[in-house]
Amino acid sequence: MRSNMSRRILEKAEPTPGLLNYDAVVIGGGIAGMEASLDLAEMGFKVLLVEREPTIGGKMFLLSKVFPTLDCASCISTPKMAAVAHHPNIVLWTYSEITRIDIKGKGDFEITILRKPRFVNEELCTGCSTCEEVCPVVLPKEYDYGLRGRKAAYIPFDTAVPKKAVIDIDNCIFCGQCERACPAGAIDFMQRPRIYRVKAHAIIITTGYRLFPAERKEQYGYGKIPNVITAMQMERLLSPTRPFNSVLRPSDGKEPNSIGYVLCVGSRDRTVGNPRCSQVCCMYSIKQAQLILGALPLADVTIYYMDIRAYGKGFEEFYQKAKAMGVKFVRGRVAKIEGLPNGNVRLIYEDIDEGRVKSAEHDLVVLSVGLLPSNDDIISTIHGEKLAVDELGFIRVDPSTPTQTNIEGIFAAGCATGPKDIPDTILEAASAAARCAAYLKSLRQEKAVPVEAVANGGR
Amino acid sequence: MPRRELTMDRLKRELGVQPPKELTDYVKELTAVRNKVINCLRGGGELTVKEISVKTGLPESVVFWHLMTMFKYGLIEAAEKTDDGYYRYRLRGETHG
Ligand code: SF4
Ligand code: SF4
Repeated sequence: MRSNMSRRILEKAEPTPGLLNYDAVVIGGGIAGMEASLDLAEMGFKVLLVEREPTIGGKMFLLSKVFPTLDCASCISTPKMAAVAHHPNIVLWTYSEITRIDIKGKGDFEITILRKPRFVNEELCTGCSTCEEVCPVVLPKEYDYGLRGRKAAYIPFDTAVPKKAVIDIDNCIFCGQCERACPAGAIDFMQRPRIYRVKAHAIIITTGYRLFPAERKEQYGYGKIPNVITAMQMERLLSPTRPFNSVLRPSDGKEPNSIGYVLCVGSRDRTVGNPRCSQVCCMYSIKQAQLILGALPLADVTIYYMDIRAYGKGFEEFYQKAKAMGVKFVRGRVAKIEGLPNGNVRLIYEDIDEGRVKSAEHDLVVLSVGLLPSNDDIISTIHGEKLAVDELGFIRVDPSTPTQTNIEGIFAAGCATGPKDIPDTILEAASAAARCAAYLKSLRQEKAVPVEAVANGGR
Repeated sequence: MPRRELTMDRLKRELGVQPPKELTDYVKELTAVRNKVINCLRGGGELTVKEISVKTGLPESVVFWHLMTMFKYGLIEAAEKTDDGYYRYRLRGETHG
């Protein structure tokens, strides 16, 4: 249904003359990219942070709380988002894509970046949402994983950074209502994509992860059975920025009394080509179960698992706490999920402890999907050397110097190198920043490279 | 004062673009569905998803999706919750009549 308007406009992309200079370019504005950028900036390096989406924050911002401390996820990420936006040594480019990386020599990268038009003048936009209110086009909202709609003119979420509107030109019906209504005169459909060339001495890749597409496990009915949702959708239902002030099931808005979790969906599963454990599914499911019992005290929560991997600090205690709260754990692989006429969902599973096939009915079923690499776009842009990845596509880093890729001057951190939880991601991002800083310093000593001044990069 | 030309009009003129028919049809259909839900709640009605579905003939999941979207844009609010765990919704600013 989408028009190919963006493609037609992209054809009109205009190159910007000159070369911008930075010490480092960080690719990806999730928690890892923000952490790495801030650490480098604090050490005095000039950083360009490039994010593909219209806002930074990544997936962490969409979460409810973090395990095992149950700290509020957005309370941790929001200050970092603001710090990134305001740090004098960081230039932030959102809604921008790396199209090419040329390795010119040691510590010498030339990066081509496409800045897509928002069709909104960022200087003028006040983030008032008037354009969003008047826009007649409603589409499934990505940030809520389709649980509700968003407009063709939209602000990703209330605390987006930058909090600026963006027009989804492929789904725009060119009615002009947003432009007529905008009190700041910020809507500008004449904006065109700009192509920039950037010179940097180092790159940190923090492109995060993709969620396993649950519809690939056809026997689980995701996308066909309305009350089968993914754990990320449940995160949205539980988070402070959630669509509604309660957990409601999508088929009819009922507050569920009985919720089943199916673990290891798309991970530890050779049938879908992902034999690896996703590291976080057990714990985020246990966390959600605890939060659900807080939100819906009378609900029953059952977790169907193969084995619980509670390996981190405080994880085992967190697991035991969930049991003590009344979360039921059933060791069994779910074979099939069926939708029932009353909206409920039936699971057919093998109860491993009892050694027989059983079935159970729930109001709502949550698929705890695994994590997949999200590096393909970046890897294909690198020219001059090939970035090494492991057999699943995560960036390969040297175990003796973690965060160092096979290409000198290119570092990687967070889920770009493999699935991991938030504390490990932050730790790895800080490590990548430290390693990158040491590299930049050694380059300076070697080549007497000056600290780069930001030539004319805009925010 | 002469009316400022919209950049939207310039875009349409320069690129000669029109929205695809499927998109405009989708928007029309969507608006019709949303209006059905709104009309159902007019006059101070407080209804559950199921009740709106029965009155409008729309599937419950469609009604719910529109209600959640309208909730985000401040058009509706939740009233009481039934014993079965369903919320009743009403238009914002309208009282029970
Ligand atoms: S583009 Fe205009 S109407 Fe939309 S949020 Fe910005 S200032 Fe408000
Ligand atoms: S011109 Fe496009 S974005 Fe603006 S209100 Fe109309 S449909 Fe929405």
